[in-house]
Amino acid sequence: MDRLNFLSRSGSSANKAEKATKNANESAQTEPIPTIEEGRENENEEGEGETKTEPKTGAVDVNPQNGDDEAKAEPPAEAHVAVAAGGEEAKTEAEGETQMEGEVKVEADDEAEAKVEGEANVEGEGAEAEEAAAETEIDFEAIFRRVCDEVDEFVESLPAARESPDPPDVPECFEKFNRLIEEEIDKYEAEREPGKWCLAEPTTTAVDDEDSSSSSSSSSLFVEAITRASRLAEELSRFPTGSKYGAAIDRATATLQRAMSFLEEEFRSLLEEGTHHAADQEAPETAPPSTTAVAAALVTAKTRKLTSFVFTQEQQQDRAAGPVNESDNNNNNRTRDSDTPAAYAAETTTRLSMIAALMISAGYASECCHVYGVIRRWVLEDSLTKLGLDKFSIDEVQKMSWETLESEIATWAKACKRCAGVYFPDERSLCERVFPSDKDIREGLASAVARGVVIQLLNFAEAVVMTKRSVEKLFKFLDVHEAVRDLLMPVVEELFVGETLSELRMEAENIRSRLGEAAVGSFSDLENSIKADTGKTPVPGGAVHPLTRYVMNYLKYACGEYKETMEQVFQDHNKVETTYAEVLEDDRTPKSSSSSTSAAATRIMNATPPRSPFVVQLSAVMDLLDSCLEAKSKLYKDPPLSYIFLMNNGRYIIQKIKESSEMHALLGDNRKRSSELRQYHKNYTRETWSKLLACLRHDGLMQGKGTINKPALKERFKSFNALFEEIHKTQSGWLVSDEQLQSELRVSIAAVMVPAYRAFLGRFQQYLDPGRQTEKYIKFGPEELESFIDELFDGTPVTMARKR
Amino acid sequence: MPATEYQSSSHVPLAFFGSILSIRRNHVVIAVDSTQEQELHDLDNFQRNVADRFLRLSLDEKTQVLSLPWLQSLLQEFLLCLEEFQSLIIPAHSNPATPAGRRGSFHDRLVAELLDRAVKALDVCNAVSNGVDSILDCHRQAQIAVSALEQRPLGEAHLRRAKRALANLVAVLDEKEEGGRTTDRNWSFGRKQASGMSPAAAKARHSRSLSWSVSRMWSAAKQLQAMASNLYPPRAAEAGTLASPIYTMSTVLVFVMWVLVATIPCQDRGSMAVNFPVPPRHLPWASPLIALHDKVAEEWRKKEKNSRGGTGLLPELQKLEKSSHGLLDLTPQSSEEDIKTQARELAETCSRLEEGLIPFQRRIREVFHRIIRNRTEVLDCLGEAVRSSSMSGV
Repeated sequence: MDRLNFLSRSGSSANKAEKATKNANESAQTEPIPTIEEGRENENEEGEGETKTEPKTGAVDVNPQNGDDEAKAEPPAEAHVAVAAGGEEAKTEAEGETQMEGEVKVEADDEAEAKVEGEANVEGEGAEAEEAAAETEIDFEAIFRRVCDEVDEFVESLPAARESPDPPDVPECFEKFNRLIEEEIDKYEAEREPGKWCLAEPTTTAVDDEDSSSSSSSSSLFVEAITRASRLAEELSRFPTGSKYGAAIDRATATLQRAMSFLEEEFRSLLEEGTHHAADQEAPETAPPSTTAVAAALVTAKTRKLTSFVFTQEQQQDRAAGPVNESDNNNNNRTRDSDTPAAYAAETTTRLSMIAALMISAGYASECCHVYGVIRRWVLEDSLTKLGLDKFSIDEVQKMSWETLESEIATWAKACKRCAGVYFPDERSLCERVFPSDKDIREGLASAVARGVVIQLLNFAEAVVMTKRSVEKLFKFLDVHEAVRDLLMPVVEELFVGETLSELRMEAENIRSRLGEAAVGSFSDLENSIKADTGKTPVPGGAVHPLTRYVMNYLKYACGEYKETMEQVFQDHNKVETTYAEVLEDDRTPKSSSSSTSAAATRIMNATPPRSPFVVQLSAVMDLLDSCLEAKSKLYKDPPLSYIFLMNNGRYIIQKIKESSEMHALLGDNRKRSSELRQYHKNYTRETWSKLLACLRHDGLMQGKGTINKPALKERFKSFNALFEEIHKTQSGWLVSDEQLQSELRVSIAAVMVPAYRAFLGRFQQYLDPGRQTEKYIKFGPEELESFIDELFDGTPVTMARKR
Repeated sequence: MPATEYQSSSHVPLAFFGSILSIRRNHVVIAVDSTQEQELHDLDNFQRNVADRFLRLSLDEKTQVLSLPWLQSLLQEFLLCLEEFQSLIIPAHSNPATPAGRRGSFHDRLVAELLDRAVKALDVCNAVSNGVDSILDCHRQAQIAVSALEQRPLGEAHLRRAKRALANLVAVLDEKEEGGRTTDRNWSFGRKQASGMSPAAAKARHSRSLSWSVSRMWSAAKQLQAMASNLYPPRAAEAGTLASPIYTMSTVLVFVMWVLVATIPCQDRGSMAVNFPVPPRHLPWASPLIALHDKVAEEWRKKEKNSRGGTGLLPELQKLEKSSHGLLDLTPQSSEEDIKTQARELAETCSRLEEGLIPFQRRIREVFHRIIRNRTEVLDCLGEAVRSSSMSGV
């Protein structure tokens, strides 16, 4: 109804109307602001769409080029309606003129056709209520635009008027303009759909939303009006206090303020809307391809590593895959977005950026940024909560069981990965889309939105590093270290500037180095646990000691999965230690280093610079393990068994080093170890078999020329048999699980024993009486001897009697 | 007795200390040895320095108690205390010849309790830092109001713009006052569509300004309570041992955290029901500390009586709140002079917040890091001490 009132009021002044129409044309041609151009296009398309009740085939081509033509051709169509609603002669003439101009400019045939048809429709179905409503709409638009044009004229005149002693009076259109804006705001506030007014994307509105297309017909006009209102307020405010425009300034700024409050709310609602949308799409089944890829990467990651976590390689792969995915999905951004916190439909983003531009140009940037910052921060935090990242106080983390903490670390790492890979980049690109031309604003917002989250993630790392150190935590510390180094630190560099950047950079660097120290400390605890292993019970059968297995597998894992990080943390630690040592050099206070060997490591470092601190540390651990095994070998009462033990463990260590190329590279070849092993082998052979060999000595058995000392010979055979049986019984219970070592041992024993025995038999067998005597003293043939030797080191004691 | 003399004698063959060790074991405290005397001297010094620091704070007439500059000095003094404490306790612990070096399980427990308090203090620091974030939010709103009110000629629109920002500000403050667990305050004004919001949206709005870096169940009041528990002054027999500096440091730590929580909006700080364990008056630093405590407690009582929701005792914030309400109460009929006065006040408070908040937040972070460092170093040295004592025991 109000609109009709306006209509009649505006229609009362013919002169004004004439001027307005002229201006309409002028401004249509000269208007420099692109958004308004767009607005016009849209609005005109809408207007067109309404007059026509039937869809036309190919008559109206909704494309910008044509839209432009339409904009020029449109006023006449409205003018007709205006006449019908009670216009005056002069106006009709004026519009006739414009129509002419318009016609001249229209080149496309279909355009003219469209108009004709539109008119025909109006005539034919004019009686229908719907049509009447449409008419009103168009009337309103016409009025609105006319008023706007008048205001434009006034605004144009203002800069010059500032110089003049007698500036023009405030025109009548001024109040109308303000009231129109207020009414529009009232109207939109009553609606529940935020942002509906600002822009209608041609495709969306034309294709699937008839309702919105009808009501948003004046939407872009509204945007235009607000732009105008802020220009008006600005121009008027330039007049000195006490000028004739005092009241007008109040009025204009009040309208603008009202509009800005409204826009702020719209902005807020739009920002919030997207988040609800995101919340609804939370279900993983609907996850877009990129997410599944990430999930898959995570799964493979889990299987590859013992600990469930993320690692650099995957991360890099993911990162590399990121842009590819993006370009793949370029055409349907919306699908991709739906899982991310920036889950706004493209048109919502456009609307957001439109409002932002309006608010910034009107001097309301602070309000706009505040709303944006608060809501996006909340959305970001909310997405992290949805990932399962709980907020823990540092105190709570200290009291967690290791199992719980392990899984929280995994969640945290996932969150870091998600932030670095998806959330932060999305946040950044959303910001770029909403505030495309305001770099400073974007930088400020980045810190408003993301700083808290980064601090939070770093605080968790801090809480983790403060937990009690232990050997098994090493790998988790390294995981967290890697996440901070590879995910959070680059993010900090990318997202932030200025003071926030230096603050967060320092924080991240600080926590990274503390994590490194914790890793070094945990690794040193490995030494302590080796030292602490003072068990006095020897491993049965001289087999591989559990400590050897534990240490070697631990080292293999540390070198295999974390070599570079380990190198780095020890390098850093070494630097700290060296400077620390320098500081304390003259100090009598004992140094509070976390491990005594690292100090030793420093010394060794100084002597042989090419070795990295980690290698030094690694070698120190190996030396410690060696001496520990040495000590443990002493626990065996049987010297040969202690050699078997040393051989077993030595072989195990060599094998492990061979298996891991990283360890091999770090610790060098096994030449020294192998030669030690050979020495153990020799010692073993000497300890066990020399006594037996002594039985087979030829000397001392012959008396004078050619006569044999028979009792001595019998004694030799007897003791040989007894000794061999004894050895066989014992050593078949010893265990050499490494097949190669086992066969090496057997072969070497047989190689010594069998020929010696064979020779002894060949020489002395003849002196024993065949039959009973031979049977009694010669218990095995050389082949049997060999097969008994082959039964050694199986770990299952067998007696010969049973075997026989 | 020149101090240098004692310092130079701190390295005496270990065997010599065996005798003192046995004397100490029988709780016969005779200062026969200069090292020990030196240590007692150091302990004394520490107590006296702490006393001086708090005396300075309580006598400072120029700086308003609890204001941002005052808090800065408080934290600065705290950091100095911490540093001194560390330099006292670490050499003592790593030297097996000193009484502290001969730690018993009692000592271990005291240190462990102190370290536990330190961890809890870290959470308080984070919560306070969050509180500062929310004040920064308020400050941004106030800044909007200030710049709107600076417009000349000052029209109705500018006043409305300012009021809108201030209404937001007051809403945030009220929310904070309710302990972060918000009722559905009108975060946004103007749109009356709250009824049409989906439950999810309402909930979202609900928790919007919740601080994020502490867990939802975290409570400043409970944290303080936990920090203050087991905080007992050393018994007479423990005089001259590390029990006394540990007690001093703990009390200072709890006090500083208590002040911070009282001053800055924090999640669930309750009604300051936390009883600060008052130290015995005979300790040199007790009186100035108690004096400060009483001042703060008095402020708190005044504040609680005041029905207009409190936001923490920070005077700048209270001023901000007061001027906000003042400006919100203005009507178009209010005299221009009135508006100008209020606007000036707001602008002044704003600039003080602007000057003070960020440095204060940085200082809090520094305290956070220093507490961590201190804790790490004490742990390192205790670990070392444990190791060396276990080795010498074998």
